[in-house]
Amino acid sequence: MSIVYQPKILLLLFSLIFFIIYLFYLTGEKKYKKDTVQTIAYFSGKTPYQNIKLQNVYWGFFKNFEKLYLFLSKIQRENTNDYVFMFIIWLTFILLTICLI
Amino acid sequence: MFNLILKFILIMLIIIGSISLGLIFEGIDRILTAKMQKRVGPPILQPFYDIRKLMIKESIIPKYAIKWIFELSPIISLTVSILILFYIPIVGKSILGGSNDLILVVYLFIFPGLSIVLGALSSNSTYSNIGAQRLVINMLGYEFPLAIACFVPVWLVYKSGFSNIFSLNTIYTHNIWGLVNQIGIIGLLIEIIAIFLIIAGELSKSPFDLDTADSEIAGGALAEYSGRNLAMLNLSEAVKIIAISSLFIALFFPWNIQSNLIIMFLIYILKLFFIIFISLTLIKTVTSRFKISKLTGIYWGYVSLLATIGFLLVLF
Amino acid sequence: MRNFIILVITIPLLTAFLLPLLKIFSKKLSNFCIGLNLILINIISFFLYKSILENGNIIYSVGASAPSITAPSGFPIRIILTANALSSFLAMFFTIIASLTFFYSLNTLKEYANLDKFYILYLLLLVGILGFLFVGDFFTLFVFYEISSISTAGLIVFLRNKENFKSTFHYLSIFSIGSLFLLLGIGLLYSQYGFLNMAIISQKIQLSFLDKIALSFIGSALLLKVGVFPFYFWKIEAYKVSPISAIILSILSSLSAIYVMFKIVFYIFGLNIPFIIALTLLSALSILFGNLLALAQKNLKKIIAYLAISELGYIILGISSGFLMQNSKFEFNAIKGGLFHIINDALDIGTLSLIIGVILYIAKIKNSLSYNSVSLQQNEIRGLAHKYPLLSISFLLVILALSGLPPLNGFASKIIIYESIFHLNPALTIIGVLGSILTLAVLIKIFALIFLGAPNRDYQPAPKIAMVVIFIFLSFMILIGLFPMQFTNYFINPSVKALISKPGYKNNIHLQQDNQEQNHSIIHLTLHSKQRYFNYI
Repeated sequence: MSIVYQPKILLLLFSLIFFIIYLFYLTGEKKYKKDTVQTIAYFSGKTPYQNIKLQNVYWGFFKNFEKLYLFLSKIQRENTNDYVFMFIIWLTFILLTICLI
Repeated sequence: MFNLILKFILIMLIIIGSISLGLIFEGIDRILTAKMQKRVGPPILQPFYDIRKLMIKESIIPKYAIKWIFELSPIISLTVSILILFYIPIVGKSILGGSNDLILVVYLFIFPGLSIVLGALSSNSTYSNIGAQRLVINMLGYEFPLAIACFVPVWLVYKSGFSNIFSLNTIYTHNIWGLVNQIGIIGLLIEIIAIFLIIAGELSKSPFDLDTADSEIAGGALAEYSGRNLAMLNLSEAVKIIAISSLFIALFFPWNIQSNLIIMFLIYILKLFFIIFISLTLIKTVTSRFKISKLTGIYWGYVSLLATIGFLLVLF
Repeated sequence: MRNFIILVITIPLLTAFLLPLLKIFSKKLSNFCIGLNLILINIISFFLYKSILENGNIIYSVGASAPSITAPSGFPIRIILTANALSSFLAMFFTIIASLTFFYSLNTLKEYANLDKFYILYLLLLVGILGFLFVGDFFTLFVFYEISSISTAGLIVFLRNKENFKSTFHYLSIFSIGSLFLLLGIGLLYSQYGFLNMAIISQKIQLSFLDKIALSFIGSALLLKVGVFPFYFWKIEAYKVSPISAIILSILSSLSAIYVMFKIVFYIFGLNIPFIIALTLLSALSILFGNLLALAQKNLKKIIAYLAISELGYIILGISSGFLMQNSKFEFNAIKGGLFHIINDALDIGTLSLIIGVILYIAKIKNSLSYNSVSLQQNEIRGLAHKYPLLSISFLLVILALSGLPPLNGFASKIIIYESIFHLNPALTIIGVLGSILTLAVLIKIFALIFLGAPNRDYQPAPKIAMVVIFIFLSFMILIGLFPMQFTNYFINPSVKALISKPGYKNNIHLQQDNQEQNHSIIHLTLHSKQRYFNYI
């Protein structure tokens, strides 16, 4: 078959462009006043808990698919009966498809 | 040796050309937006002045930031944005034409977003953190309709019996508008509407500008960036405009008159202007921001539906 | 060379039962013995692969007067092992991963009691995995199915918490049903044809109604072992509580179950189209739901489990759509992508698990239960990138590889899959692209929570051997990513030919029997009633 893609050329070109950009980057000002108020991350108002909590990561996404996730959590309740039930459902499905078609 | 120097000059030309073209288009975009809002607007070279200003400003690294991620990610974002241009046919064939460019380019378009996300997350700022998460949700959203829209021309080329269908050069040289019937043309027009929305999302401009929402989260993903790091991010934004528009020009607007290179390039600039005007300036000015809890639904629901309808009409 | 195939299986089996004896003398001696044994089977499997590439497939039957006699005489049951280019390559690769994981676990698991029992089960599971690859008759398939199920159950219960016992109960109850259905399917075949040898059944099969029922039973039982979309429950339960090295072996056993499933479906049941279509649908669903559920998880090991499910989806998608496109020029490429992704999946998910194991080790989280949702929610581990830059670079590389971004190995196989399955249905390619961006979101979440942010407490120094193992995995990933053409030409293409050359498999069996018939008159079949089927042998 033909060549799928050429990772070596990709990487070579990447490093070349990276090098050129980096030279340009080095012309910029690199100094700043360390250990001053300048370096504290900006927040308006009271300083909050610094790290975002896990359950709030991608909040908008989960809010959007709330119903789907509720359904998905309903079908897996960490209960053996559910698992066996799924297996039986699949078996009937595959038996019907294989034997009747 | 001479060949090598020629190649190097070509690479330098593409780097400088894409950056300046992107900045000029940003300037035009600013002027047009100002005109629509009955303002005077900045001069056309204002983005260049902004970059020069940022390069001489202090580039602050926040206290608990991971320094190497924070500083490398803007450079990687810019580098990959330029790298994509080597795989897209602009005038004539692309420079690094392979057999599977399209999938590679779709995947390379993840990199600028990914590096901004990582840089923003590494800055340990609450606003940046929220902005980065919103950018991830945005990426999740537009990638689905983007994939649908990109594979329409591939399918057309495949149905017409050409080989090497995932190569952008193949799609570029076989005008897809000649491969469809009347219903298919309607399908392609619907697809183009979806594409304008996808470009607006990919560049995270309004109505999809949730990650850098100035009024809500103070610049979001870019909140902690300053100085030369911010300059790199702005440049990568400018190059990304050129890259994503060029991809869709190669896929959907491939009318290339076989004459000399300069005329072809001018036509390319015109197409670029058309796409950028609609997907950036017009949509940005007439819409306002979506809610984050509706964003993925809008992409996977409405935009994908639009793209799928276009695909189905093309199948006729 | 022919004996290598049985040596690969028996050496770890014997060592496993020798370990309690060795432990009496010294703990170090037993560890040394396991290491030596793993290196030995590495060498043997390498030579096995080499000899198969040179001389063709190998068939070995246990208990026959000559190892190549495959047709049974008298009592029609005999343990038959077969090896082709694919299975021996996978055996070589899996033993490399298993031995590297053993050296890793020497470093990270040393604080636990009863480690000797853990390693007995570890070696037994390895026997189960290798047995799946080399199995040539149905009863041996059942035996290896049971071996791997029971040893996995032992590995799940190893940490001996309440949660472990619960998970083991779930696992055992699911797999008792699974193995019953497997046995039922085998029984249906045996009652009709009177043979258990896969090659002979593949020649005699008539695809009657009962055969189709047997296919669905055997296929479902093996799918349960693979653990794709509707069968993934046990995987979550098992991975959530087991140690990292057990998780990696469990992933390998899923991968070998994929191989044996396709071997049975393709060789014996002659490519049942409805079953393959169902498999394609299941794989697309596993890509979507595996990723969507991984995005919502709070437990790191559960995230590994869901990501493993979605990666298995890619493999099955590639292979099954390759079989659906039979006789077209894309068949070869789709199957090549699927088989290539087996290697990349094992490497990528393996490295992810290894890194997560190191994180749990340096954060001194011994008990997997305490890590279950409570601690990650309060961000107990954070800011690791300040102190462990190498670990975080490794994790970034795993992010790229697992979500299939260029230039690492995940992209090299996914691009082949996408390109070829597009000809079957473009929707499958679109689902694949969507799946990989979802994987990216999951991994960014882990990276942001664990590696970024302000460091909150002191962590142990990273274990040295474990880090070396991670770097070996990473170097494999980078090498495969940079030289995908060379890798597929040398290793994957012969494997694909071995999988899709169905006539080759049958002819090979004929050949072995013909040669032996001249030397041993005994093997003339005594089953007179069945003899008319053997006119062509």
